[in-house]
Amino acid sequence: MSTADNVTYLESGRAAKDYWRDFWRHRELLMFLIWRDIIVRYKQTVVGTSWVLVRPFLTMLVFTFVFGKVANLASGNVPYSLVVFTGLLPWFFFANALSDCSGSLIGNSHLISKIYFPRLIVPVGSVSVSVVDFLITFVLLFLVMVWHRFMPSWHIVFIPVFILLAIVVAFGLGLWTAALNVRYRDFRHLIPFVLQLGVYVSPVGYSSQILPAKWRLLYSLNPMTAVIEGFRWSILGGEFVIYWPGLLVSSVMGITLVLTGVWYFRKTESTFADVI
Amino acid sequence: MSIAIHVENLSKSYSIAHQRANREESLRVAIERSVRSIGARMLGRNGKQIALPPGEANESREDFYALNNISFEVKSGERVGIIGANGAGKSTLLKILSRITEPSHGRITIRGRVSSLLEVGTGFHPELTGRENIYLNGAILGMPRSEIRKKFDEIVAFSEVERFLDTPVKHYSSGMYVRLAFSVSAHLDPEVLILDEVLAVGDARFQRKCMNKMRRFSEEGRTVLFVSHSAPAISQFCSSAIFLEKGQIKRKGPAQEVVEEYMLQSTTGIEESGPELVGKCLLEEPAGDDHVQIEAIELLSPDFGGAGTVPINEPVSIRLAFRVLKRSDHVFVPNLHIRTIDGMYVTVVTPSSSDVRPLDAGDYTADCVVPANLLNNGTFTVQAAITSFNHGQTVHANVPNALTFEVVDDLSDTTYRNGYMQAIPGVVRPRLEWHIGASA
Repeated sequence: MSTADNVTYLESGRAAKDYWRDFWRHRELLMFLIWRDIIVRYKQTVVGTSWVLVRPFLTMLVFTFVFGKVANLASGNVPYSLVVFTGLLPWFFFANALSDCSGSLIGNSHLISKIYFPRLIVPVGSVSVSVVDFLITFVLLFLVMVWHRFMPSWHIVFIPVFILLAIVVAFGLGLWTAALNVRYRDFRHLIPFVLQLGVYVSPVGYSSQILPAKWRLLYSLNPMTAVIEGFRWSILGGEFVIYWPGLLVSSVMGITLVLTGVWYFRKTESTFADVI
Repeated sequence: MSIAIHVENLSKSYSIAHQRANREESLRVAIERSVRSIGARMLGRNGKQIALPPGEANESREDFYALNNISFEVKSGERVGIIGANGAGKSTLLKILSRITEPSHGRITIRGRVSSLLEVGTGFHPELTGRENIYLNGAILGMPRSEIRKKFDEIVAFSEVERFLDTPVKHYSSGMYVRLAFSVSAHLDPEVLILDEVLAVGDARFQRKCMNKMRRFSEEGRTVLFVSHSAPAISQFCSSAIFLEKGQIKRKGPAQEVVEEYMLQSTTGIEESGPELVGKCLLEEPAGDDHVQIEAIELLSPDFGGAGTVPINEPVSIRLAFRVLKRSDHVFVPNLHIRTIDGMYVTVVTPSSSDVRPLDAGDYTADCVVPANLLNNGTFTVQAAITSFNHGQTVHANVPNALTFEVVDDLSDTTYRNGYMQAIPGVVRPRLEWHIGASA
């Protein structure tokens, strides 16, 4: 399909020469969908937006207690709650982004079956909402650091790199699962399960330093490992060092997921309305 | 005049077996099948078939053509109706034209900005207020924010929901909801408008308002494509029409002609499984109060076989049998309510005031003669009641849906047909007096 001089041609499998221009033309719709999702989510709740903060905060308390006190895992000279929190922050973003994104097309099926727009807007919007939440939780991180009178190292300037990596990984997986979910509803059951296990498989409640070195590379095949390690390195510094092969694996994996995800999404996009 | 929409050899096929499999297909089955087919390709080279489990082997893909090789043109500024029974392919055509789904074959060229309304209030969110939904819905329909802001007051005024603008729409009545939703759509500014039966919403007054808006819209030289299975809507609103049947164009041309053909087809379809005709209704338990009771209602058409069937060119009597239980000063007025089978009132008939008077206890009949050539051919229902008006209005007895009868035109009398032998639309078909002569 293409539009030139206000003439629209519709044909089977017509290559979308200006798909991205079309996407850009619908940017206002993208903004409106993000705005809708943000304001609708906490309507009719008492504490409203604070839910974004309450959930990670309570999880942090529980994890600090379980891993730091009960299991008595080491955290060096850094408060254990900060170790947990620097892991929880990207993990919460990843979990929310992935689960929202994978269900985003189905959740908007009433739009998809009734109106045309580049379908990519839906998962992009859904991840953007999670990014907004993610940035809000940094306020909480700041408060926890103030509470512990903890001064981050100069590495903190690299935090945007790891935020970006987290977004890339979540978006890449989200694109794949969103498109697959339209046809195979299995993902609706699979994703919550994966995320439930993932919180223990990823170094959220503990530091990956405690793992034997020979397992390190295998462990890094989970792309979120490098993201969490990167967060700890940028914020806590000190003994939390970056495992470079892991970071490389994660970056390559994230970028590959996004590129193939966009490819698969666009390949199946034209049939969404028929199948959904 | 230039061409706004050009459709060439358009087809859309769904493969049914595939489709059904898709719905229930789990990932495991899909993976299994693809692994097996890869395996089959590797092992069974040179076209040798690998045995698949039964059920899967003969899972042939049957192609179902929702649209089959359709071509038509719409000139700019034209109002074109698309009509057809359910499953004729109307919605598929709309979805393709509005880019929601891709055609399987063929090509469409549309000149000008397109807006399509397949539903009123697409994307309305129940938790958002009316104001918020106007912006959201506008954006979904492709209106830039600046344009929505400019037209905001107009939209609100048209919708008549000013007072509730800051209430979440989930608290709206369904009428308010629809009015607000339609108002946003009505302020779109496209050159080509594609409409599904969205006009069939709201109360009668609002529907008229919408129709007028749409008519003005096309008078401004914009093209409207309107899909409906309502024949009256198409013949009123459209200049030309396309009649779809089983994915193909059955007929296209001036709206009136196409609609007539559609009506003819849809009525012949009904005859096979029409409503049950009731020519005689004897009440086991008489209906009424302690003054008067209805005992039976029947159709008196002695010369014609078949219960409940009445020839159009013969008068027919409807007899109401009732019993007066005690003498009172109520004046009983028998009345018959004649409706079309769709429930539309044709008329309510009563005797003249000079024919009714207080009655002694006893059994009575009231015969009402429906003259020949009054009702058009079609199916009608009769409700019978007895009411008195001289001590306030009292309904003493009431039998809804007492009779169902069909008026048939067997074309034995063609004096008023002038050679036109097809269906004549309308509820009544009186033979009126004409005076034709040279004008002075």
